[in-house]
Amino acid sequence: MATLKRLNFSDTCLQKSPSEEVSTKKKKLASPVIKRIWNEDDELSILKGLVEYRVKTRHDPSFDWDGFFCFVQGSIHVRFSKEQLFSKVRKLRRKFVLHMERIDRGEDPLFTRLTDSQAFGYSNMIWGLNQGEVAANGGGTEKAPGDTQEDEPLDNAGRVNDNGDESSKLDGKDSEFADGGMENVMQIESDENASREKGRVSNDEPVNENGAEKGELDGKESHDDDDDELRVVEDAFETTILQGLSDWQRNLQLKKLMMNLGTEKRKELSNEWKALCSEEVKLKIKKLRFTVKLVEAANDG
Amino acid sequence: MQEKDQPKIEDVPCPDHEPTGVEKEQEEDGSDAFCVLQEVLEAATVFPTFGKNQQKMLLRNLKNLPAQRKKELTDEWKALLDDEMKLNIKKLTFAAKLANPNA
Repeated sequence: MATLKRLNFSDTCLQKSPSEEVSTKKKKLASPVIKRIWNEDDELSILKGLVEYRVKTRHDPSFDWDGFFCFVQGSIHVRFSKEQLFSKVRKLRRKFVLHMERIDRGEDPLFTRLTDSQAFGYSNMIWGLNQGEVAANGGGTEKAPGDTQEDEPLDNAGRVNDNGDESSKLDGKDSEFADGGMENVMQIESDENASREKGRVSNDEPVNENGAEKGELDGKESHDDDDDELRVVEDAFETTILQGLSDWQRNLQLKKLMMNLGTEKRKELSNEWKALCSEEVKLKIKKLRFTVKLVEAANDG
Repeated sequence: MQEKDQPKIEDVPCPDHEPTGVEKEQEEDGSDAFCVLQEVLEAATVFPTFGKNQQKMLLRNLKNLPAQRKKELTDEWKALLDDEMKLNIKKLTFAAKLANPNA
């Protein structure tokens, strides 16, 4: 009964035409039970596979989903179609985004299963951005083909509809991959950034030898100083306070710190930490000199 | 037959007589200084690279250093440790300031 409710909910989300609904009902009658094809280990295998495949292909921006499908088939012992695999990848990504949203709100991520924290770790390698910006940017840069915000319904509690792996089939929804043309959405950087790196600008603005636009130079130094101060304060915070905290707790605390710090305060703290670091280096040099003196004294004696 | 003047028993110094207070203090200072310097030497990055014989020789030479020289070196090391302690206190103070920047 619960499964039927869930299907009805997804029907309303997808807003099908009456003719489509008729075919959907027929299919529902034919196979009333949703068969779960993925278990927890399979989910981990998919995520591990994504990480390994990215390493294997040297993070190539043009991610080959067909290649990945063949690559991951060896490590999963159930039969599945490309469509099912990509649907699962989308769901795993959505789940990761939900976890990150919870973390951003300062709540603990809800890991209900033993493998959840492991899965979160792998997902973070694939879709994670620096300092938990995933939720803000709608996830990382890598998505399964056809990954849009609406294509997979959430259940009433706002969680990913996790056991409806074949619901798209049951709903009679046309496959997004029927034509075999899978658009490439695994770009690591936008084209503009890539072209800027090579010293070119898309609208042919004059460029300096080092690849920076002439108009950009004004105020660039102060921006660099700000970045430098920010990094110094982060480093200080990590060295002095964040020892022993988990990664997501660190990100959370850093975010809070950066929100609370004004520019003046940041500059002051940055300078103070630099002075302390400099003092520490000098002390280490003194210690080394003393050690040399001691060895010499023992050798001469 | 004349009796030779034999020394009285109490005149003969006992081979393991108790050292005086001053001697005791100097001895303790010497061994304390050596222990400190031995620790520093053994912790030195370069020390494990020496052979066993060389290590023993260095430690023996260190032990045989004049007391004055040993004291100088120990005092210098203790001053460095003081500086390190002060730096750690500064770091902790800074950490407190960082944890509560608006205080």
